[in-house]
Amino acid sequence: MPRFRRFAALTATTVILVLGFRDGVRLAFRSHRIPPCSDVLAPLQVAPIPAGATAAIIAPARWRQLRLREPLSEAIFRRPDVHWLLVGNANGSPGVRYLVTIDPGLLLTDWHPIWRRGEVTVLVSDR
Amino acid sequence: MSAWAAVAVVLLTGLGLVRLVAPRIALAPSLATVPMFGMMATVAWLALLDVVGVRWSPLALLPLPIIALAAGWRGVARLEAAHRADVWLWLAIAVVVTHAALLAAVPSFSWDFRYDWGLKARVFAAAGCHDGAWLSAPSHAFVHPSYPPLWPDLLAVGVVLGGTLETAGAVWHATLAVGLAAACWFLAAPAPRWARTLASAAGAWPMVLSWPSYTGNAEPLVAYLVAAGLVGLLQMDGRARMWTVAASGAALALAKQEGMALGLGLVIAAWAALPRGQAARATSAWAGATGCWQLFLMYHGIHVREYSPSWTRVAHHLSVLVPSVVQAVKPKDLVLLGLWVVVLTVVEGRPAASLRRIVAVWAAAVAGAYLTTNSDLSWHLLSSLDRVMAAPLPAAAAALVGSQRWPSRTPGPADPRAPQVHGGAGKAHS
Repeated sequence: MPRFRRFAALTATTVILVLGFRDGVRLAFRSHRIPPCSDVLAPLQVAPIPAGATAAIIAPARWRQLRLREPLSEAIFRRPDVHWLLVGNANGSPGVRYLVTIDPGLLLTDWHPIWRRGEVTVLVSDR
Repeated sequence: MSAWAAVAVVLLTGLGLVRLVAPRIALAPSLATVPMFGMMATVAWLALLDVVGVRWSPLALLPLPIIALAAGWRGVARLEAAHRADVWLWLAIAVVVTHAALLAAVPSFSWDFRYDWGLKARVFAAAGCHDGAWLSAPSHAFVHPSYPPLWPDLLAVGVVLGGTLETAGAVWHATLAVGLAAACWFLAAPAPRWARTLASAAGAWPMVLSWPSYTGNAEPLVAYLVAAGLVGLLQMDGRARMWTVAASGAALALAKQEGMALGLGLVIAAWAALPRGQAARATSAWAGATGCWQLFLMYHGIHVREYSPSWTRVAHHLSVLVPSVVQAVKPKDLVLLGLWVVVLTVVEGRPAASLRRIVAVWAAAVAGAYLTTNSDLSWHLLSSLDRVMAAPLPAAAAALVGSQRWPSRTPGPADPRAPQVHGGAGKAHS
């Protein structure tokens, strides 16, 4: 019986090791899976949005397949000092002074661009 | 400086404290508990800086290792390598170092790391404090503001000392892998050296915890802290045992929700193993850490949004339990379940009662969390069950190996006449 128990203990430990080795090797050979919007929104880090301001980000059509939280989370990750909202269009964000979009062709009445880097454009409200 | 500077600060602090509480402990067992003492002291120091209104900075962190090393200097000066090096130990070291190097080379990138633990760390580092105002903002509810702060704090120290968030996650995981492997090596005593090498390797390469989708998560921290606490409970004696269990209980309470349950299980197990006074002190450490974090949450008006402990919710989740489990459970979960069954039925001797008590408290808490979750039960199980089940497993498996009656001359812990492996006044087991 002690022999069987020792065998069971060693087998359990070996299973943990073998499966852990498999996971570790996968990690080593896996390219980093940074969210697709991460690189695009990276310039936000230096965008001229004052700390404490409220800003809205318009999720472009090509991101609609992502989890909705993703662009918002990435914007918060890049600028945690700004209060962020995720909106479908600029009209859905009353009271918001800053708007971030990655669509260069986006034309909005009552908004004008103040800063652009990479694909990121920051607009400010004229109202 | 880099994220490695954070590891250096924590390890030097931990070394000083370990030598203070157990000056005669041998070098090798220290390796298993040094990071834990360092982490606990660091989070306490950061909280102290908050209270006195000093912003977190390299300069503000500098006194911590200096004070700790000065306090434990007599023990540090007596540091001795009392561990017998043989081919099995060298093999274990090689296996551990390989995985640690691999972990350190891959910057952390998982969703939970980037937008939960890491984001909080980034905010704390930028604000130079535990930013309660940011945590309590309704728009930041998705970062789980009520989750305990130890892991974000460690990451934040890496950022404060000049590292990037992603590398901080990587170097901490490498450090935790070494700590977990060292703890497993000692938990597997007094098994033969080759069996201890196996247990140590399983600690260095734990299943699920290194899964790419989980990189940068807090589970390796929980896995290490449980293992370090078990080293204290099962392999030490005297003051060293009490302090190690106390530090582990407190650190677990500040690591994660299920860590809180594991810490409670550990201190409950301590009541059966330690003198009453020592068990009471260990319990106070757990309760103190838990209480401090709850006070912080109350002060900033932060509520636990993830769970609603109501009978209606429990009844609802029970009604959908079977289809949710069928939908969510992966083959990996069944393997983990099987391993836990083996561990809990085969373990014997002194570790058996302790392990079963800890697992009972932890399993009850985890079941309670799933039954009261505000998320969809199936999604919650799918996204977390494997890593929750996997975290304490390497330590439990190592204790299982160590609990067996091995055909050697060394008496095991099942033998009541067995000497303590090491401790405040004990001698090192090589």
